[in-house]
Amino acid sequence: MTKQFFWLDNLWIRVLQHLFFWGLSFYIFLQFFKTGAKAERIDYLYTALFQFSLLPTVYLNLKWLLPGFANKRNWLAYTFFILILISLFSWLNFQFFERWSVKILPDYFFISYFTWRQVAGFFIVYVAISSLLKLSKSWFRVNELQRQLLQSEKQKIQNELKALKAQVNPHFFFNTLNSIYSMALDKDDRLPGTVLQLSDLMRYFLYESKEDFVALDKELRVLNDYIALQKIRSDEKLLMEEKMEGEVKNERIAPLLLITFLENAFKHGNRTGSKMAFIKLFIRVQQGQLDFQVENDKGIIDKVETKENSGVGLENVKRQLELLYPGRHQLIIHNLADRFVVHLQLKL
Amino acid sequence: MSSGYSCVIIEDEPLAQNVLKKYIEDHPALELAGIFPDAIEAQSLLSQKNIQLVFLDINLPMLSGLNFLKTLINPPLIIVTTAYPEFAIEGFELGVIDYLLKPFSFERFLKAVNKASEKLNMLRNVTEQSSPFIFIKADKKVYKVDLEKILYIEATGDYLKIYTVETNYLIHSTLKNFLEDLPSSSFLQVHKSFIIAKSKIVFIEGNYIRVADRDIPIGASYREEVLRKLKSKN
Repeated sequence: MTKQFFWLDNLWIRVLQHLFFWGLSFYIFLQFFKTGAKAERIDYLYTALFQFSLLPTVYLNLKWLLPGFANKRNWLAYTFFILILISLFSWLNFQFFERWSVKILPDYFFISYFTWRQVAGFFIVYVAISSLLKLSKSWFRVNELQRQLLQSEKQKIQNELKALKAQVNPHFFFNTLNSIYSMALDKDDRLPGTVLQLSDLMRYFLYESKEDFVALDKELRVLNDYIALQKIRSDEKLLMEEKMEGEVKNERIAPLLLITFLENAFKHGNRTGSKMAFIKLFIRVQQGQLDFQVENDKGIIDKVETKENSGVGLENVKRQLELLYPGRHQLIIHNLADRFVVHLQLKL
Repeated sequence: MSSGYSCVIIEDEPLAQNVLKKYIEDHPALELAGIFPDAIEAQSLLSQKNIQLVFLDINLPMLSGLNFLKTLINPPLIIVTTAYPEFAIEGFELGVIDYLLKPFSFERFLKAVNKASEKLNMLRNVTEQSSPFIFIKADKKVYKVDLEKILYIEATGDYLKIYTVETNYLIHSTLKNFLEDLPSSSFLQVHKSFIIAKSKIVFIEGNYIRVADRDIPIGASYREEVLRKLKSKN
């Protein structure tokens, strides 16, 4: 990762953290060790030396034992090594003040205040405190990481939804424009109305379908425009049955969901050659629940399929439903010998 | 043999049929032999009658236009009319004459028919010698123009003026577009605004070519190419 993803990981901030820790520790030790009311030079020296002897244990633990064993849940090895570390360095500390300091620093006279076990106690406290600090820092880091992960996951779903949505077949528009062109050549009376229906539909597809949710009655109105345009294209060779129950108040729905099923029905149903084709549409809105059923007879169809319409339509809607209505929808598709029935239940 | 071409429409949408029907009625050389909502129904007519040209939709019930085309053993000339641009390559691989994307203008339709008639002329010339011609749309009529009567063509803005031995036509097109409809062996672009008929050159003098009674300039960037092509012909 090139970007600094966590502010506490900045090198200077880390150096400052350590300086602050040892500074504070030095001050506390000094208060604790000093013999008189005011800290003497010897107290400073003693505190510094004592503190210095803690460094190897603390940093070996932080840099080597924790990442090497504790992080890998190898508790036995960790306990073993940390005990050795503490014993060894507290013993060295003890020996230093007890014996060697007289020889190395003959001008000063240190009295060893503590037994080895007490020194070891200090060591344990320091190892514990520094380990806990490190742990709390990793906890922050993990938290931050989780937050970022969650955000990118959300972004991914959003992008996926966007990609899934823009799937309305462009051929529909060009075929409708061709119908309109034909009417214009004939100066057909249906022309103005058809142009308005098409522009309503285009406005919906181009602008409003970008919203996550739209008013249900708008989606239903667009369904009607769509049906009207399809009827014009197929002339009187289509038997369309529409039934609507219940009352739409101010329910909202993800845009273009329903129209995809309808588009599918027209693509397959309206293709029985010179015979009549039928499409049945049933919609019921009741207590925040939408029942949507579309049924079409199956014509013999030779697939004219491209990347964008080869069954991807239905797959897309399924995925969209999973993302937008998890646990709140039921989609049943009956692929019968002569008919194709889609039944969708949605908790709005 | 009449100079008219017998053609059929295979198209399932009535309004789309209507457009083609109107265009065909407006074209003096096309005779509509039938309209079919699907390819299966058209098949019997195609095998019985001598159909020269088919306007074929791709997205048809039961059998798609392209798959229908694959079943034909001795196919007539095909002009595809569709809203699906993605099948153009496959269409041309199957040997279609032209590929019209709905909705299309009469001018575009005319260009497609001209391509077809050029091909049909070539086929006919093997057996009988008839002078080649093209169709152009000028002041709301479609004229048949014999190629050998064209003297030169001048571009003015969005229009072309076609000078022939007898008369002139003003059509809505571009030189580049129109040049594609002409056989390159007989016509030559000599200037960004002029195409001339090679056989109508009277003389060449300096930077001018005299055709009929007009001095036509040779464009600087065309000069080399023009001289090379004229020499190779002689």
